[in-house]
Amino acid sequence: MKTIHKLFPISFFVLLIMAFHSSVNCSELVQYFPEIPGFTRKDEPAVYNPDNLYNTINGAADVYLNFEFRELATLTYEKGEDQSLIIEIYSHKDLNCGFGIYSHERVYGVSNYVDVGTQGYYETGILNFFKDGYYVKIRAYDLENEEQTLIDIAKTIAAELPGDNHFPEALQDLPYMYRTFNREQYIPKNFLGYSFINKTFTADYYNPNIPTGAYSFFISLCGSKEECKKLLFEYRKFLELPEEEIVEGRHTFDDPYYGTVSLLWEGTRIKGIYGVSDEEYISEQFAFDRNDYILKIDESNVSYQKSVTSSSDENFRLKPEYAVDGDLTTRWSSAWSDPQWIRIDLGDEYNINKIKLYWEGAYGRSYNILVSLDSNAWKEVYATITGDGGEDDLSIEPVNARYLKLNGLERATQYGYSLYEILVFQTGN
Amino acid sequence: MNSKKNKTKNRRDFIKKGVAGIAGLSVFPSISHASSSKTELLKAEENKIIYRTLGRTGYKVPVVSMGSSTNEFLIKAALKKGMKLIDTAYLYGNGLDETTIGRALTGMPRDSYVIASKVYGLRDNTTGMPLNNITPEAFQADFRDRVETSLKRLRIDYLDILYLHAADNPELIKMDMMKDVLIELKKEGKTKYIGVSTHTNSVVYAIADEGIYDVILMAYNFRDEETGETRKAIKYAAEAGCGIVGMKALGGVFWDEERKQRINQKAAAKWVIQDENVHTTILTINTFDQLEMYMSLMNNPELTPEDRDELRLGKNDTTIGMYCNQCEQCISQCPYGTDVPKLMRSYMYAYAYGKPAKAKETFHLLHSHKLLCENCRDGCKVTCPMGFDVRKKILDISRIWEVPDEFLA
Repeated sequence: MKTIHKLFPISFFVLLIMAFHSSVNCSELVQYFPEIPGFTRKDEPAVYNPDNLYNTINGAADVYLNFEFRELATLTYEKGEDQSLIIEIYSHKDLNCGFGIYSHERVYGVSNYVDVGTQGYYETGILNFFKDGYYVKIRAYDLENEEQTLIDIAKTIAAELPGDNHFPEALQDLPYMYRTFNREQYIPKNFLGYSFINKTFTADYYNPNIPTGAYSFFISLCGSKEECKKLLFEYRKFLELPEEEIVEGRHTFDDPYYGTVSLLWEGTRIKGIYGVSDEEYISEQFAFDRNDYILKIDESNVSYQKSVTSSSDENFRLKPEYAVDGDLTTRWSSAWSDPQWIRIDLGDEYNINKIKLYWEGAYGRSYNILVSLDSNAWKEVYATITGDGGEDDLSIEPVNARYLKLNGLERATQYGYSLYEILVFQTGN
Repeated sequence: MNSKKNKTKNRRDFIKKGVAGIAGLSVFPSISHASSSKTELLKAEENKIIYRTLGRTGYKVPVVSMGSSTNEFLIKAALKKGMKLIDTAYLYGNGLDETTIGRALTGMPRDSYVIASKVYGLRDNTTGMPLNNITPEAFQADFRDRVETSLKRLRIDYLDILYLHAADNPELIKMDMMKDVLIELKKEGKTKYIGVSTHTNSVVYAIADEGIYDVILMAYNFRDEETGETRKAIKYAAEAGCGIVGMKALGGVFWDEERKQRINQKAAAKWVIQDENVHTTILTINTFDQLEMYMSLMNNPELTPEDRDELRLGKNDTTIGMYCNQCEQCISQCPYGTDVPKLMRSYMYAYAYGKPAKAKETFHLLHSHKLLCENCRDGCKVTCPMGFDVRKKILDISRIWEVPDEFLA
């Protein structure tokens, strides 16, 4: 034996312990591999964890480790001579990290979302989705009826995976207006290239009405007030600002790389904006409260959470139910063609006199509204050929109705008819 | 363990203190490259920048380069501070990396940077060779599509360097279908130069001999000092006119399997810079601090005795608990006659040297023994004088066979 470093016995002891604890094919993930009709399993599932293989492998493995990767199980399935697929199930520390790695790898400009797990998408040859801290990737080779087959398999796996289909809660606190949706990210470490900013949700924004147009908003989950203070302290140190007592509230820094960085220390979190320097605008963004987008529903409203149907939906995530859920951050959108309709069954007969529409950017230029007592005989109560989107407060002659239908005749944009909300009011007492 | 921690902290402190602190430490004589004919020193802003010429491409690039990144501002800052080469790949982040880099480069003069990307193509991720039943036409058409996609994401008309991504079998880079598509893309102006990224010495020799490849992106770090095999391969290729770009300079980021003890980034980068045949090395840069640190090391690129200590060089312990001394006593002990020493070498490649592709190649020769070890569930008959749990290590390494390609790429 040559010279032995003093750490040798310790390291070796650790190796031995690991030998007893990390059994090769023993992983809870293995149980989520489904039986797939017509396919046979090739070999046993392979299981990986950060300790046993990735420690010295650079490259993309570091990205996974960055998102607190815990375990990966893979299994290959075969059907006949040519068809095969590989399922990879990754488990990460928590929902934030599961969402994080999924959103990091979400194909840029993806449009084909599928109704699997919390969110998923299909592209030729692949289907990826996440649920809680689990990230699942399925790759297909020469599969017949590929898209539907992959969706069916993914749904089976998603149903078995523990946890709920919720996005991380902090995402809801990113301002809604002008946000570039489905590009939100979770950055566990070194946000903005600063080692003192970690655990951060961020989104890009584009507002054509402000000079700079594009800006970014973020929320760092410091976890405690001390950590918030430390972040601000380190940031000041990096900028070589004089030491001073750091208190909760607003802080504005002139950053050499990002220009004006505005921060708001609120309890155990720090919110931030960069890319815009207009103080009034920044304050508005910091004042964003998701609850402001939840409509106050009272007895005069007769459409809230009622049964609703539509001629078509742009996709499964833009359901007609979203037009009557009282939430202005969700919406219904039709297919991109004329004509289209959305119909609410109020559940009972009401004397109605007011309708309020909250249009999304894709609004109707020409549309009418009809009511009915039996869903057979319809009566027009409103019509326009000069719709201009935004909010429409429509007062109508009081009329008894159980059903209400909005008929879209001509769209204002190339997109569909899209409504955040339809409110129907009954005549007041 | 405590002393180790303190050391790390001190190191960080002296990085923070900047150039003056470092200069004070280099009191030991060492070889300076400043006077070398191959190396030029130029003054830029606050840092000295050491440039080398990237083989026959003629590009003059600083000895440190920017690895792929998803921070637009960090990329911009790197270029502003004098870095020139940015490395990325079609596969990274499913396009997030290339798209981000494209945003960062928008509006910059096209000749102010050198951009390199890599395409893997329709290949089997266990053998690394083109898919079994694919025609050359289909392979090439797909390869071209990916190059076009990369260009679109990067918002440019041509790449400076297009690499075949992660080629660890010499046969692959000799295939006509492979060479033809790369040469055509170069002729058509989709890329100025072509190259190969690899982790394998035999591939480096093969690339140099083929003569058509302009640049080699090769995994190279201080763990090679013991054998010098990669150093030799690189020298051979550089002398044949290939531009040599190093990667994986940290040789694994961590010393230990528990990922607690970080390898000294600065010392590791300096080790690579010492080799003049490596024209530049791409570094993973996640923070502005790291960027500053790598740029500043060009002021004092010499590898000091302290750096050598940090890298545990000359101490025979760069591979604690992983180093099989190939005594071969085990061969007769195994009832199945498994070539344990060879498998231990494969294990070493993967774990100690951070060369998974090389490990895979070695393992390939003995693939069937994976099943043999699985027979001995009640215990392995081999008693290793080093105390290795031979069976466990073999089962561990056998799983490299099924590692998804992005982990090796």
